[in-house]
Amino acid sequence: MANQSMRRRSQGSFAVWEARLPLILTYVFLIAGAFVMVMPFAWMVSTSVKPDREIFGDTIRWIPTELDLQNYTDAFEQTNMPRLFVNTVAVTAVAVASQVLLGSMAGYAFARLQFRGKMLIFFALLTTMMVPFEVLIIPVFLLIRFFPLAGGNDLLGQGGTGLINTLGGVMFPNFVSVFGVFLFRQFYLGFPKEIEEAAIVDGCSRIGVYWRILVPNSKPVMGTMALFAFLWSWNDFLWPLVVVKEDSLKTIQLGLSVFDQEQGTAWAELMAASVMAVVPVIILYIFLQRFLVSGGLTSGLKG
Amino acid sequence: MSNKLSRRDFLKIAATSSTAAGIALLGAQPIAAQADGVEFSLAMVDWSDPVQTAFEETIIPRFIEENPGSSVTINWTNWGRYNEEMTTAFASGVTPDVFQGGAVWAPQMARRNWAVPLNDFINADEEWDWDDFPAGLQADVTIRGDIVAVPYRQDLRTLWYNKEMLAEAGIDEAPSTWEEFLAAAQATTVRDGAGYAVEGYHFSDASGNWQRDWQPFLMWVHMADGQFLSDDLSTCALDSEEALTALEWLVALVHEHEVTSYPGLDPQGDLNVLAGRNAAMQLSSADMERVINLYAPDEAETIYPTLPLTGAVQATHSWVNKFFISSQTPDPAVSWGLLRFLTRQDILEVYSASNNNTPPRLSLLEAEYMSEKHKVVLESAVYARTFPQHHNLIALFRPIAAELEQALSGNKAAADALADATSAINEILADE
Amino acid sequence: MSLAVSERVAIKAEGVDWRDRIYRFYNSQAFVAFLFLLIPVLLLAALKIWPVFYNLYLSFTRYELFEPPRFVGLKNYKYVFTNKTAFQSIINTLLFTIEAVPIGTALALIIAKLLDQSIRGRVFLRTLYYLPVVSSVVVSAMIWRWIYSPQHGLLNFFLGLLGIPPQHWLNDPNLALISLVIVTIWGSIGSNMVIFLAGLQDIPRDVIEAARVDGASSLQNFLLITVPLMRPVILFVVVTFTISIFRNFGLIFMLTQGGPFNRTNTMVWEVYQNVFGYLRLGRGAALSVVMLIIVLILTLISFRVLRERQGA
Repeated sequence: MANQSMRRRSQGSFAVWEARLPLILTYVFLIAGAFVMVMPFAWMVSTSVKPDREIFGDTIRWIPTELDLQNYTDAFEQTNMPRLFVNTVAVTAVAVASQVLLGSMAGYAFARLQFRGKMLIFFALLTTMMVPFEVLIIPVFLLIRFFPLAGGNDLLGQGGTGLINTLGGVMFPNFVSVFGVFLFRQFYLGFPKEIEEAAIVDGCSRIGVYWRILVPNSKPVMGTMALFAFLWSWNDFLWPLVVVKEDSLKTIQLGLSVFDQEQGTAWAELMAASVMAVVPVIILYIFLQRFLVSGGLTSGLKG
Repeated sequence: MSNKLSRRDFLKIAATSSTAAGIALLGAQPIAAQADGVEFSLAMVDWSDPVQTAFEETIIPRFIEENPGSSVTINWTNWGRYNEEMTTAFASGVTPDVFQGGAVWAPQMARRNWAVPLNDFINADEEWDWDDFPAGLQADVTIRGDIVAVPYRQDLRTLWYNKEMLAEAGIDEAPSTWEEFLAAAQATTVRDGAGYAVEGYHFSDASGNWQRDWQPFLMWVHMADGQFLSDDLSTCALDSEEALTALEWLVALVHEHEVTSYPGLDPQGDLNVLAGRNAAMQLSSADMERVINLYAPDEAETIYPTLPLTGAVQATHSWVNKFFISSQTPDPAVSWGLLRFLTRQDILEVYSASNNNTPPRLSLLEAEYMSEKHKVVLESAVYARTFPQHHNLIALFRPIAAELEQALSGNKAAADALADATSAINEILADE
Repeated sequence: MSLAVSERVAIKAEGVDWRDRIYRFYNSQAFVAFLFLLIPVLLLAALKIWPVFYNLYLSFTRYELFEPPRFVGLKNYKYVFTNKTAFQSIINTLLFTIEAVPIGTALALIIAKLLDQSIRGRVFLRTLYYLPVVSSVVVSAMIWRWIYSPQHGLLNFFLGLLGIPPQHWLNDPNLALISLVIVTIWGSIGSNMVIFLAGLQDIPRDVIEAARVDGASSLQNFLLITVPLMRPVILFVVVTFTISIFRNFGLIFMLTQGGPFNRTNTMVWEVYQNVFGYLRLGRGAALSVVMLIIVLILTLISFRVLRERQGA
């Protein structure tokens, strides 16, 4: 308000500046923040192209004196990178597809449908989100160990090794996430009910409402969920570690531990490999960003 | 070299014939079963590029040559999450046949029945020669009479010092007593305002690892002729005069003599403080030699080990790493075939050389890769003590780590810290 | 299910044609809910609910893996509340949450709001803010270990330029927890921002435009319109962020291992130590049950404070 009255009173360059001041402040704030956010990442990239001797000098060097891309070829060769990528992509793709689909279905049920025990089931699920995975490892591991009809097991899960040392075992805990159910529920709660009601009046079934109205309109939340599911699966370390025993089944995070051995950390190669591991995530983020911001919801509201 | 081979050949003949006689006499005496065509799984935590190369290019091919049709799948891990990996494996009943374990694992594995006792195999296998392992290492893996593992490596900590820095300070001899050590530390310390440019003695790193204080502390306790637990393992022995002497000495080094900072200086990546010339002396294992040769070759002629210091006694500590056979292996006798191979003299030589480890076999003292520095370290084995054989040492270490932090930072008197640590440890012991 | 049955009974009474009856059953809320929840709930029951109950059972036993669990009553719970270190882990976790959640959430919301405007370079800036999220905990912890390093670290280097003496970030009992809080906020702003951005898309632009025409300043707009309308999303972020802090293991494992002076010894680290370090699964289980109850209470408080406007 003060802004507007000020603007009316004074003319000339000062007024132009003042009108722009909020925008300038916004930029200063955002760029300063972005600097802090990017710095560690920039160091990672910078380390990945440094010769070893420059990594731990007494002076901090952001731009290496010489560009050493050797680290990348070394990292690529030492880790069997293509195999790591294939495994990780397989595990991640299943996790993303499954978590988005199951999460949105369950989220819809919790947000829109009335049924007995709804809040009880919902809170029971929510509660399990609060248990640290470190506590669940042993029981979940027993679950995949005695998984029926897998890895030489019989129908009762006896006799073999179940899903241990298989990609299925790595995927198993990632089929559905409580976080996803919760996320979709929250977003569907904020959905304008009128559209759905109108569709139902027009004779559309509930599943039809979900499939034809909610799903096409939940691109932002689906993009968000896909991004999260992708990241968890891509960056998961502890679970693949206990499940996978063979080099040919290792995922990318396990592959990275090649550089963190007993005799110290091969920083340059580790950072080079980390950059390679991170690039797909960044690409995915940039790709999904369109969906994250252009939800179709606002247009629906105007009607 | 030829000399050694012929001795080995002789032993081989002697052992083979006596083993044959033993089998003839005792009938079903268990011995390594023929391992042809068996798929082995092996968990290795001793992971570094040279070790991996040695296994892939020499050790495993040789094993397969000797046991045609067999295969060995190795799962390489590092120490960070090894414990979880093995615990989960045992909880579910799907474990590797043979696995590596750390310094405090033998009593744990014995208590949980997770390791196969090896006495019968070892006794029946003279060719392999158990007596070649020093008595201290044998004792470390023998729990109430059961040999539950075979050492593959020992980390012997001794005093490493920078000859040049000491000489510049007018000290020409390596210190051998606490007093000489203090004089050398005082002479070499360089202060930098409130901090240190050079620590005369580097006690602990600044990196936040719970083991950083108690590991070197334990060596000072040994030198003071103290011990951690009573001989029958029922009570904590840290409330003794000896342990108090050790802790007060360390507190004095930090606060009174000011020859080391607490927490100490940071290593520069893989270049430790001594190799980086930020300290003149440090208690370390033979790994120091590897680090210097690799990262600071200029220092190779200045940094040396010396035999353990003498306080009340001359002593140090040895961390013994070992191989176990899992209690869940389908046929222990077959797995013994792999374990005996891995810990055979010629294989241990390849293995130890690849990683510059201190070998667990006395016969390897003359091995080609043993440098002069390395021999000094191995010689220290005579003065080495190992951990008490309690099955839950990890839990017992925690109160010491916490109280050391209090005492060394000057928050608590040494005597009080030790008394508190002792009562906390006794509480845990009573609960076991 | 029971609703479905009653509906069916009602339909039968009316005597409608069977196809219609099937359709109405098929279209009943209970049936659709059943269909949609069957797989997720079954999976979660196996993956989460069963282990949680198993854990609850273990919390009343002494269990060291090699012999069957032995019932010990409330002994493990007594340990959690009387053992100094174990109890301190509860306090530490609460401190961690109090220091990280409000600031972290507010920052993420403000940044999301600023980046929701149509300003030049917003897509690029959003990507920059999201960067910390993409690298794994292992890698970010390594980077921060170097940033915090007392002698060679970036942070002390910058402080040195300002004439401030070097600090032992992760080794100073007064700074260790706050150092972890900084890393946590740094690592979470991106993901929380993404959720807020998605949520902001749901706010009708015309409401804000109308308010602006009425003379509301940006700040007023933000506080009086955006924040109230974003309540369900804020609730979501607060709850999931709190949970992620309670479960935050990697950072502590990589950076401080609970030290110095147990100042960063959080509940999850204590649970881990008991389960995998000392193989005292009963104690670990009891502590994780306590942890669950605390988070549940915090969640209920959040639900109350940021009360949901059901079906807006």
